[in-house]
Amino acid sequence: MSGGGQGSAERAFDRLYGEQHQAVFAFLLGRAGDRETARDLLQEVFLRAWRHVDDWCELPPERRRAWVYAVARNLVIDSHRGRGSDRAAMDALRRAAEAEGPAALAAPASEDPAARAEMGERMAVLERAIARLPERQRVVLSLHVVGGLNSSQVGELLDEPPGTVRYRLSEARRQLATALEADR
Amino acid sequence: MRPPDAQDELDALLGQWSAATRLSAAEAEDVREAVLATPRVGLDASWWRELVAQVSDAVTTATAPPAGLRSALTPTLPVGAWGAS
Repeated sequence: MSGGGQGSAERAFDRLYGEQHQAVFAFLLGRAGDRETARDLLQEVFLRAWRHVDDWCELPPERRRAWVYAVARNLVIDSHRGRGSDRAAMDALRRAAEAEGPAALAAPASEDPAARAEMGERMAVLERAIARLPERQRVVLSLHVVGGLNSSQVGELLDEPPGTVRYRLSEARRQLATALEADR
Repeated sequence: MRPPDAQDELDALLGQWSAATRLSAAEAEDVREAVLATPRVGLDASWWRELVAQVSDAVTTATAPPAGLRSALTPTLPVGAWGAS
């Protein structure tokens, strides 16, 4: 690092973390299918970034981002190996079914307990449907909805044309809408 | 094509899912602090070079004789004066 020192390492880290943490989290959420796992993996990704600041801090932004996502992909693969290939998605399904996680949190405060309960149920249906999506669709959906990235940005991260990203997103929405409709 | 109200409901639910799922500012800060509290395994070479340069400068400054002493120790005889008789 030409700037040298712990202070400049921390500044470089802060810049990377500030720019990337939400999108990396969304990527991990899509791949792992489970919020807690995604959070743990996020910490591990950026721990590696911190320990290896010298490897990426002088890279141009797009290569710096590629470095982070390469680490994230490897960690997800290791995590899947460690937990069994479908276990993460099954965990997400179980948690969604328990409706104690985001579904419960997401139901907006309402004066009407019945409306609140119905909203919680609809969120639980949505979460189960998201967990059942093919992984590619779930990652695209998560990067777009949670990470706030457009189809071009998602395409760059996943090395896919924006048109393919839009198709996957549209397929994901179609399946979610079908699941919600079936539950009516 | 699904009716607009179904699309609206999906958009609303996805918005709530995003709000409930995405990393909050407090969680993001917790992760950041946990990472930065971890010592880096190796310090980079430039850090070491800078430290050596700083120590070297400090040693040079500390051991340099005062300017007056330096001039007092400098021979004032003209070159070749030794041995001339």
